[in-house]
Amino acid sequence: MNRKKILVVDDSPTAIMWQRMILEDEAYDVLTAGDGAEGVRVARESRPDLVLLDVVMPRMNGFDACRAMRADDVTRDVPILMVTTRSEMDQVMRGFESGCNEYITKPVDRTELLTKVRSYLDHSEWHS
Amino acid sequence: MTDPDLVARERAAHVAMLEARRELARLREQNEQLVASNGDLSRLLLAAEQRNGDAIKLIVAARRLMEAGSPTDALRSLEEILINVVGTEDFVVLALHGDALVPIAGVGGAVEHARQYPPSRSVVLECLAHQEAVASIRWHGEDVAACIPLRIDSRIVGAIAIANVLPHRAVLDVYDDEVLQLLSKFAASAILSAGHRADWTQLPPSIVS
Repeated sequence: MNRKKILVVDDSPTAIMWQRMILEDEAYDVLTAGDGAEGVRVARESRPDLVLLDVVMPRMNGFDACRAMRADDVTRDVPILMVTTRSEMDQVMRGFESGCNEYITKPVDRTELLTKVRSYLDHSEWHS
Repeated sequence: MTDPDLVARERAAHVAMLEARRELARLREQNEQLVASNGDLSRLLLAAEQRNGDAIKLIVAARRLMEAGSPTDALRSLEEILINVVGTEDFVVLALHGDALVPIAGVGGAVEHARQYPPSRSVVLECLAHQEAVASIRWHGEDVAACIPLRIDSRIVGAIAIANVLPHRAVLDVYDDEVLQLLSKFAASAILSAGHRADWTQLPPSIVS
């Protein structure tokens, strides 16, 4: 069975390490990028099955990175889950307007992360 | 007159029906036990997954502190742990200089608050009085969600004051407590040792020299 690839985009090495440990423990392959622009590039080159995208990042923030991925034919349909400390409604709305599929608040809860990741990956597998 | 075969068949059917009822009752009881056992196992699995998540928190916090190559890196790691693992964007890290606590890192309004109203040593002593890693205190009339003394062995060399946790977090809970205790015991040592490491141009001849 093919292992699913997940791209984690976050400027915090701590956040990346935490999400990587949770996901690799569940046999997902994890790619990483340290800012939005790098995230867009890695997503295009590696075609991940799902993207976990931080919002506040240098160079290109998560909203702009999400829009860039949605505008690209290669990454248009990849599920994107925004990961952020902001839970205010306007921030959530901005995320959905930029094209994300789902929202996860920091600090990331292991069970919530895995449940949401599985729901999108199972869904994509069903339709593939 | 009754047909003896018919009577025998009725008796046999009656016995079979009684046996079937007993079997049904036995299966129902077994099913109830399985449902109860399944519930117990689900609760155990949930608890194990929660503990797994907590263990990952501790591993990440310890590794990030240990990996720091300079005091600046260590402080940055400490900030990231507080933001991403504990869930706060309103905290200040303070170092003890004489009797004063000086802000050396932090995020949000707590940093400016600490500059305007430098907390005295008494804030840390108040933490000590609780004999716990985390203590609730008031600082210049404002409630602080948690104050974590930074220790090297038994000496207090600083503190972390968390003014507020993120709005979607209710309160700090027992699971955060383990991470905060780890920071209380090891963060100051990590900052110090990162400073020594940054000064090395090459490794010392032995780790015990």
